[in-house]
Amino acid sequence: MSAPGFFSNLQSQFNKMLFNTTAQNYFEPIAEKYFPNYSLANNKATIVNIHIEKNGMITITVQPNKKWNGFLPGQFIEIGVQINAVNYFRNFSISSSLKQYKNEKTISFTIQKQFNGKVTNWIFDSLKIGDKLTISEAKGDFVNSNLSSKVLYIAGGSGITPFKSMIEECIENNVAVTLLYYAKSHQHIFESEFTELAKKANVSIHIIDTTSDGRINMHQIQKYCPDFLDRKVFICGPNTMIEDAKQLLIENNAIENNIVSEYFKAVEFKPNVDLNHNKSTLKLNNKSIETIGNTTILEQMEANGLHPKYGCRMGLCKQCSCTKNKGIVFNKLTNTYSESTTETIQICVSIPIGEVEINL
Amino acid sequence: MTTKMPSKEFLIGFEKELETLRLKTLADLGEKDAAHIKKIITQQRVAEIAGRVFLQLGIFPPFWLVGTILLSVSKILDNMEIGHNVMHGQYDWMNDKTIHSSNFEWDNTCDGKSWRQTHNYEHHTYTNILGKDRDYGYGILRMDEESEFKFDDYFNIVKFVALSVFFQYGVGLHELEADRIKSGEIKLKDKLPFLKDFAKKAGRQIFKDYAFFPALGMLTGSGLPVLAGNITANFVRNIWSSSVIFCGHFAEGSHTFDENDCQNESKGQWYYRQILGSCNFSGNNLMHIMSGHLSFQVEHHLFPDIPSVRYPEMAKQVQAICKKYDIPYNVAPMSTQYFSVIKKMFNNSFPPKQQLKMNNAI
Repeated sequence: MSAPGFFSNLQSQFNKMLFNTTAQNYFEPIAEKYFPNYSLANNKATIVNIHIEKNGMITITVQPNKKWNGFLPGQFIEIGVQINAVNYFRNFSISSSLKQYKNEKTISFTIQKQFNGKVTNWIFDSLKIGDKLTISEAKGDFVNSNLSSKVLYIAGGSGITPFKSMIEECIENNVAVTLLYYAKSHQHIFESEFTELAKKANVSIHIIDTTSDGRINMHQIQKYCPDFLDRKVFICGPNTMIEDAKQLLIENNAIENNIVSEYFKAVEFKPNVDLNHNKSTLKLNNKSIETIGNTTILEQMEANGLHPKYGCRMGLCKQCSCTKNKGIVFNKLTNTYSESTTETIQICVSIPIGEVEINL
Repeated sequence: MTTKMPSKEFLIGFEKELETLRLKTLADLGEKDAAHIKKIITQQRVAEIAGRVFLQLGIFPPFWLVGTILLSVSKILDNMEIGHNVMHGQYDWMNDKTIHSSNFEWDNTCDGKSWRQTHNYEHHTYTNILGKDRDYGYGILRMDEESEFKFDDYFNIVKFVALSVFFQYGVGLHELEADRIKSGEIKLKDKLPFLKDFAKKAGRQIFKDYAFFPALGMLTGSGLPVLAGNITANFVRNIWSSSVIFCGHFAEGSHTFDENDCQNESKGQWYYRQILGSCNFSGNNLMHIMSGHLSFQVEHHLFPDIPSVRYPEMAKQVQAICKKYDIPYNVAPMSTQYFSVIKKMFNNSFPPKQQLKMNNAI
């Protein structure tokens, strides 16, 4: 074991001995009550501006506290909000530039209001300037690590959000950039900002209306970016759009390694399913199980010859708790649907809905 | 005598009413409940820090007394209203990783993982089923006349006092199932992973209370007072928590069940057994907080994953439901319950009369 590893291990053992948790978690409740401006455990950010964009989108500008470690254009942060004491976490791309962070110590993220979305509705209705949010460090590999070759950026719908700061990064570094921005009529955002950016040298921005001009096709790519084979390509948008774009480019001799993509979709979804005729897929560590009806994950696994740990089989004892990475489950003890984000579930009372991935 | 289980059909309405109460309370959870547990956690942390600071100056008797009281209160709050309830998952709905059943650890030699296995699962699922609920006598005490009488049961009183004084070690070693190892039913080897976890957790606790802080106290000339204060605080917590827990299931009027009667039981029958196997004790709000609301043992056993602070209001409705279906509901002052536990423990330290008679006849 290396020396720093040895000391951090010793420190964590020491904290466990003293506090049965980390020092931060131990002192946090006291800090929260008596020193509310100084939070130990989490990065906090203060809201400094709320700007209403077009068509149900909103840009929120926040000032992270000093502990926050900064970001690379294209990355996202996880925002934590509390609604009636329940913590919800959502990922949002950072839409502001590095320059803004350097000069004003602020970052912005742009959010699409979701139909029936508990969290986005709450953000639209209840959040105000001066409020504090919990934010994670910046995350994600959708970054342009090689700032010497030319790039083609392709955005679909709200997948546009990471590209604003990525284009500004190109301008800073004198990298030639072309953006193809697909969205339905009147759904394009940042239009005035893009008009400004397009005036800069080596920047070419094309806003494409899918309602009148159709979805992505080779004709458009040839027209707006004839040298696409020489460029590194970044695609962000809904899954089908990413697949279509990738296929088109590869069919036309683009190298797969030159294409980077990020799946962008709304995480909030209100299921409306008939549990008796529910067809789902359960993904385990290295196995996939097709499931039918309203049987629980535990029952499905046992029917497939697996023996996960369980206890009371009625949702009370938490012996069968495990992490769900993806997907929605119906909890038959509380009669509620889960979030689609990562969380702890009990497999003895959870019925999978759609595609569910769990970690045992 | 074990109690017979009523039929599923008889309990359908009763089950429905309890389910309704459960869902109604779940739907109402929110800020109030979160504020409660956060307040108690903050109070516990302040009490612990202040207690340990006072004990560092424990060479002055008044400081020692205040420090010891604060540390005892901290340990009791941590184990009862916080640890026990958080580890049941009563606050999992908050989705706060620091107040979540999946990783909470408490100020106790019992490892959290082991506790979730022996308490959440075994005790709460098989409550008061003789031979299945290992909390009924902890595999140490003889608490029911239908249990087989063994020679060491003559020393029920000694075992009772020892278990009370060293309660955290009793709870910590519960998963070892020493009685089953002794009888050859299971092997010690199978329990090695558990023993390793226990040694780690208990080792940390022992080092903290009996080495680290006393050594720190030597700087202010208070090494021995710190040690004495820590021993006292652990002792106070052990006596208090064991008393609360003994009152919850062993008091006069608590029923036991036979394994065969509980096969394939419905949720209604499960509810029935939880009510008959548990005993409440009356008291004021301070008493409820310090007992982790196990003064509402009945409600806790019906709804172990609902925040304990809800039990007082739920108790009124549970009592009304029990009255309607003519199901006994056991509540008495703590002193009454505890005295009846002592009586039962004492009576069970002698062989049953019937057995004596039979032996004489032969």
